[in-house]
Amino acid sequence: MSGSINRFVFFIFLLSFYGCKDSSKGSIRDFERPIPQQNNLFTIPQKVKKDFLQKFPKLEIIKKEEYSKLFWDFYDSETIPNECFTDINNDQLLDYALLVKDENKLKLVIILSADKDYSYWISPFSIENITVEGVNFCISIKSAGRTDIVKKVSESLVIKKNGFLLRNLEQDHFVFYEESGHLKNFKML
Amino acid sequence: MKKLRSIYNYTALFLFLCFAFSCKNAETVEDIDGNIYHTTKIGKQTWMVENLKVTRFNNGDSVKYLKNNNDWEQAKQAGYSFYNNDIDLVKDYGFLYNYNCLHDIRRIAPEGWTIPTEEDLKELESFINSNSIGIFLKEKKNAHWLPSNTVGNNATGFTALPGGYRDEEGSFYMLKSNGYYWIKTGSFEFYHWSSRMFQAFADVRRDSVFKRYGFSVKCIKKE
Repeated sequence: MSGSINRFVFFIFLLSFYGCKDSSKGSIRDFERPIPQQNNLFTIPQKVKKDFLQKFPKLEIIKKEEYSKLFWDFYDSETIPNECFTDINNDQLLDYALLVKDENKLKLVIILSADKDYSYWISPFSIENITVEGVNFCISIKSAGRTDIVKKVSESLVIKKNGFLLRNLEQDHFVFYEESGHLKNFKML
Repeated sequence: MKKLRSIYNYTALFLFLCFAFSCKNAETVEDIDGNIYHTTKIGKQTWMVENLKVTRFNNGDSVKYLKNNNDWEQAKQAGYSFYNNDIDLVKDYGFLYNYNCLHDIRRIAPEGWTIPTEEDLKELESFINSNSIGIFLKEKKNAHWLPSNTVGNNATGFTALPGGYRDEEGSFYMLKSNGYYWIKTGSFEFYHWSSRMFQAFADVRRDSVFKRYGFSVKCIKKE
């Protein structure tokens, strides 16, 4: 009988000592920093590019090899300078941007995704004439938010959705964005 | 003797259940509505894993649900909404709260928890100490995020999600692309395409219009 009581008291003692231990108190919890090689990462689907080229056979998608030597002095060779993707019209679908060659003119193409189809917008102006030195422009994403410029006059752009940012080497050149169903651009240089 | 043993067994079971029940908060926290949030320890800090979805202050008063755009735009008091007023999104993304919620003395953070400050965020950044901080903070893989060439591994358990935001006019933007979280003076952000964490979108000290924006909230445990 006395042994049972002792065991009971000991059991309660262990519970009270261990049962409510909060491991989060007083310690530092760390984690592994190295990031393993990321495989099967997303790129613009080949079908999207193929459909676009079939629709606009005169245009060619710029290749990495067509970039100038100067460009690669600014950017890592892993960079994909000629294409990118995000949702620019707030429909929770990816939209795509591609730099293309229209004869010797560099243009931007934006492909807007719909449920089962795409619509295409091609910059009505030439971004630059492509010379033998190669292409200097790259395309990336401009997140929703405010952009201020001070040259030549101070001006601000507030975009509520993500847009595409066109850079000339390291300099921001244009923001392309969607507003009320229309694609617009904001010149930064 | 048999009866005594039976009393002993029942008492032991009762006490065990009492202890087990009292321990349920070791890795979770409960808000006044009864929502349970998992917690994660990152360095010395403890963060909520899920986004906040409480509808009442800690004194029991309701936080105003600001459904239509006009109510949101005109609101002078603390209020919340959820993306596109779609209740199905609340389970994953929680609510979008306006700035007044963060500073209301009745408090939306559960007892013992608070809204993170800029210093808390700096401590988090300093502890993780990586240019790819977003990878460690974003949910593992891309179940909620649009496809990307950088994928989160959620090594910290923080589970950043792309809950989008509500602007000053009441419109909702960027679900699945961008995640915006409140600190007491502004926001910090994650983007589907980036391995980084940003703090560039909303600073209420520079522009008070952001006080009328709605962002997600992750509370942090008080030291």
